[in-house]
Amino acid sequence: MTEPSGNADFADRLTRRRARMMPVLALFLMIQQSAYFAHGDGTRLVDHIRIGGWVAMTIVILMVLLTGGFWFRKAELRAMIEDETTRANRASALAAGFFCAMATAIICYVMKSAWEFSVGEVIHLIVSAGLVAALLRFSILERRALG
Amino acid sequence: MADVLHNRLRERREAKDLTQAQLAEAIGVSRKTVNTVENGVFVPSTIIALKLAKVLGEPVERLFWLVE
Repeated sequence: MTEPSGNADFADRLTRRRARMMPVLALFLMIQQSAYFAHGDGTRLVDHIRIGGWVAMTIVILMVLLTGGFWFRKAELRAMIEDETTRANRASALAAGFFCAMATAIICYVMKSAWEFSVGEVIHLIVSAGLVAALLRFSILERRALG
Repeated sequence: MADVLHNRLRERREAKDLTQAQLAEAIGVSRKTVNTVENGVFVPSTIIALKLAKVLGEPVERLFWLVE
C-alpha cells in the first residue's frame, strides 16, 4: 500500500496555492478600493475602465468564494479539492464575510451624519469588507487545515 | 457541554503503513480532511467515517468514539 497518491498530492498543492492566493486577491481589492476613494466615480473613459475592472474583479472573487474556483480542472480532482473540510471552511468564511458586510453597513448608517460618503463609496466599502473578510478567513482556515 | 469526538485514525493508518495522502486518495478526499479528522479539528460526516472504517478494516465505532 505504498503506491504514489497522485490526485491527493495534486489536490493538496492546488489547495495550498489557492490558500496563498486569497490574501493577494484581498490586497488587490484593497488597492482598487483606495484608487476609487482617491479618484471617485468620474466620467472619463479611464474612470469607466477602472470601475469596470473593479466590478469584474469582485464578480470573479465572489465566484471563487462560492464555487472554490479551478473551473477547468477534471471533475474528479475538483471533487477532491471541494471535499467536506473545504465546504465547512467556506461556510465559515462566507459567514464571516456576511457579518463584516453587515457591520460595515450598520456603521455607515450610524455615522452618515458625521461622514460625507456617497452611495457609491458606501457600496464599495460594504462589498470590500465582505469579500476581504471572507477571503482572509477562508485562507486562514485552509492553511490551518493543511498543517 | 458539547460532545467531543475522539479517534484512533492516525494509529490505525500508521499500522497499515499508509500516508495521509494515500488514505485520502483511497476514500476520495483531500489530505487536508484526513489531517483535520486525525487532529480532532474536523468532525467527519457518517459517509467519510464509514469509508475510513472500510479502508482501514475496522468497525467505525473502534475508530471513533464520544467521550462520556
